[in-house]
Amino acid sequence: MNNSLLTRLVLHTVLYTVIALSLYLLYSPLNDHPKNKAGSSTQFVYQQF
Amino acid sequence: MLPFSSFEFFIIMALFVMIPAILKNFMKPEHYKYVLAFLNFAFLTIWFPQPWHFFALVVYSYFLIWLLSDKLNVQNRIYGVLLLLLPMLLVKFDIRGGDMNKWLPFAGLSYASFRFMGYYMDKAPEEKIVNVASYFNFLSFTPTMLIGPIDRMNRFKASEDNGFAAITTDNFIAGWNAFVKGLAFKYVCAELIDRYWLNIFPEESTELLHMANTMYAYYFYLFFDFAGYSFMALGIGKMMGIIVPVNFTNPFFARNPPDFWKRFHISLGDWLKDYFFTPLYLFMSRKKSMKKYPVTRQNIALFLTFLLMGCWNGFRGNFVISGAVLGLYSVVYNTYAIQCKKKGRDVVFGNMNPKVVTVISIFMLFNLIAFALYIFSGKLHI
Amino acid sequence: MKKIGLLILFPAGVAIGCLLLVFDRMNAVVFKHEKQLEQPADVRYIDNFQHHPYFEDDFLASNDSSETIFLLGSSELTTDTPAMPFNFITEHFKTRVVAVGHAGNQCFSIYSQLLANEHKLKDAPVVIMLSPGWFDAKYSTGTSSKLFLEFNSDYYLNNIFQHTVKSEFRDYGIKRISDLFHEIINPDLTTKLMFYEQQSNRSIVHKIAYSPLIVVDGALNDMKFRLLDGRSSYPDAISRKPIIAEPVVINWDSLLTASQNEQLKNASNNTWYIENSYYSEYVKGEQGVLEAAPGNSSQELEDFKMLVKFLKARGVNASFVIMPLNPYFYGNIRIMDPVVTQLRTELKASGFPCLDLWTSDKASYDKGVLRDVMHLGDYGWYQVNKFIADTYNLQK
Repeated sequence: MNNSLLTRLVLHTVLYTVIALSLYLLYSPLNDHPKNKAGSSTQFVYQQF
Repeated sequence: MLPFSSFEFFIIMALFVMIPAILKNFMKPEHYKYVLAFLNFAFLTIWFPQPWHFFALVVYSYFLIWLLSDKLNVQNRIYGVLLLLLPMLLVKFDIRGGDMNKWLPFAGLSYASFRFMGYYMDKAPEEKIVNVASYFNFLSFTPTMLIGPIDRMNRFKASEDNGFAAITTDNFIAGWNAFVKGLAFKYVCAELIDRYWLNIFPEESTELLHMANTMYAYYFYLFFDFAGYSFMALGIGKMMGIIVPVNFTNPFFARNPPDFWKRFHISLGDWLKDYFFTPLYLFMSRKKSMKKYPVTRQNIALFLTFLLMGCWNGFRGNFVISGAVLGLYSVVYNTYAIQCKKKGRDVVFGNMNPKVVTVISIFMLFNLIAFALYIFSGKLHI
Repeated sequence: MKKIGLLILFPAGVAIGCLLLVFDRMNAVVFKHEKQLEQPADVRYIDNFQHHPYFEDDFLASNDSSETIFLLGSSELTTDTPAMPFNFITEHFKTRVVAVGHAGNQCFSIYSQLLANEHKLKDAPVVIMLSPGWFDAKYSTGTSSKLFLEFNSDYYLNNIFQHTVKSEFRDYGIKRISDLFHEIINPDLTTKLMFYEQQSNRSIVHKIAYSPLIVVDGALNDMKFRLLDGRSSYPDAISRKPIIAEPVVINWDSLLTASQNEQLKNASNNTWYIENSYYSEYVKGEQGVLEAAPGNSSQELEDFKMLVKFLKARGVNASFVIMPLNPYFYGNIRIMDPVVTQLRTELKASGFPCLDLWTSDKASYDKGVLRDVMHLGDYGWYQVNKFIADTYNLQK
């Protein structure tokens, strides 16, 4: 395996690991940030009924 | 399900990448377009929320282009352009009557409109209209149908003709890398900015620090979100055998407005230049009253182009004003560039070290664009 | 292939391996569970479950010493006077009343809350406040998605999807939730599964196309609920406590007369029997207009019929109150008569007790029953209290 391929392999491994961990931390069901929850796109004007 | 709206979309795209790669071994190169058409058709009919709207638009635009270009050979293309853009104009101008506002708007209308308008403008009269399958693929290619980039028919067709051959290991790796980059941009970087930077101060706050924070956060958010989509679309396209044009290249390092538009939403800048700025400039050039004022002609065409871009987003104040502001930047720079050329020297920076000039230019433009996009965001409350 | 293996598969494998390795540790460190908020004692009113997630498990449960009657409705529940059933009944009897709802909590929202708690429904005492205004054309398209999400968390939705009896009621719930799907940004896994299930029933092609999504989402959904402490398994069916009739003496006539007189005293600046402050601020002599849904049929009415059918099928100890609207304010109130007739017909057929306060006739309008154009005043609420006491035999 040449140096360039090895460098790319290491870089990819680190990058993919960081991305995978970040994705899990952001979108885990345990993350109760309001933006991680379901929301409605309809404008709801509080009705009288 | 809209493209890129949920992770399930990527499961479908994984299948869409696998299918042509497998069929490449059993089918002829000229059948690639039918495989692609089948996949695009499947996505629209099975997963997309308003498939019939899209099919109706494809039929409407194809028929119109055939009629105006192949059959009637209408010379003045403005009529064709207006007819082709009619559905989009009705939605953007909010000119709808009765029940039309319930069924007319649908996701992907704008980008499809840009594509077929471009095709109509580029198509030579003697050139026969392209095959239905290719036309359908051009408009409905799943990774790009919703948020671009705005492709051109000749480039797309060339890529489609080479479809199976372009499914190679190197292209797969390059496509995958672009996809991962887009994934990281949109779902990690943009998401982090949106959750932990963009809204740390109240949007209505008029404190300078708060507004500056929102301004810079929004610029980065917009870039990572939009560029993220574009890179994912590029990556998936490449893995499927279609070369999708690059839409973003380091816009934060742009030195001037023209440079910026060659780095940020590149396909939109190119489209506006080719189909609005240039025809408008040529039109004004033919007018006797404007013949003697080339710089004025350029500046007017530039300003109107960016104003149109603003209005295309919607007829709200923030969109129109941001378009006007971006137009103003281009007009000022254009005047400056022409003066520099006339006088044979830099009329602002003089003999300053070019590297210093570059740094200052990048810094200035970064802030000017951030400000214009801050207006665009609608978060600037004045 | 070697390149793909080295540059993609190997790094991806390592990334996933690292994630699995640090999974538990990371969850423990990063997602520190905040101590569950202590449930306040003496909960009498919940506007929605989004603001009171601790109440999801207690919904429809009996209280420690006796039964709890659940009062479900919408904007009429958002006042807090001694006449409100959750105050009056709770203070006079061992049997408590807890109210759930605010504006917009209409038939399908109530239906899905009950469906999510199907295991608690047998003999559960539930009073539903029906407003004919829900069937006005403006609101008759049914519960909005925003409101729906306030009352139906992932936990409740998962109950409906995974744990309810496979029946027409579950199917209806899933169909209606799927109708709202396109309005929901970032829908949770259960909502997606419901939508995919609905879509996969369209054709064999859809079934095949949606199957990988259902498999993946199903697995992730199971994993999700295993991660969420204490929510992984469906609660057991509960046993209800009996409603004990107590020797409580209440002079209903006196209460009703006094409250009516008080209400009329506070409605002195108009001849429409509307409270002075409300009249001066909102009405100012202008009449309101009602609009019947086309053909007097609507999604809301379909939801109502299904709700009644469901309550009957599950043996719920349910009762209804049909609330009035002010016939002086709503000049064209008779336009709602056909739909109210349909409500009455459904309820009569079901055999559920009903306090029917509706009239479109000014002459027979019970003056003072409303404090404004549609919300019960104390006089109206005392009638409801009496109805609850009589229906559920609270008094000996």
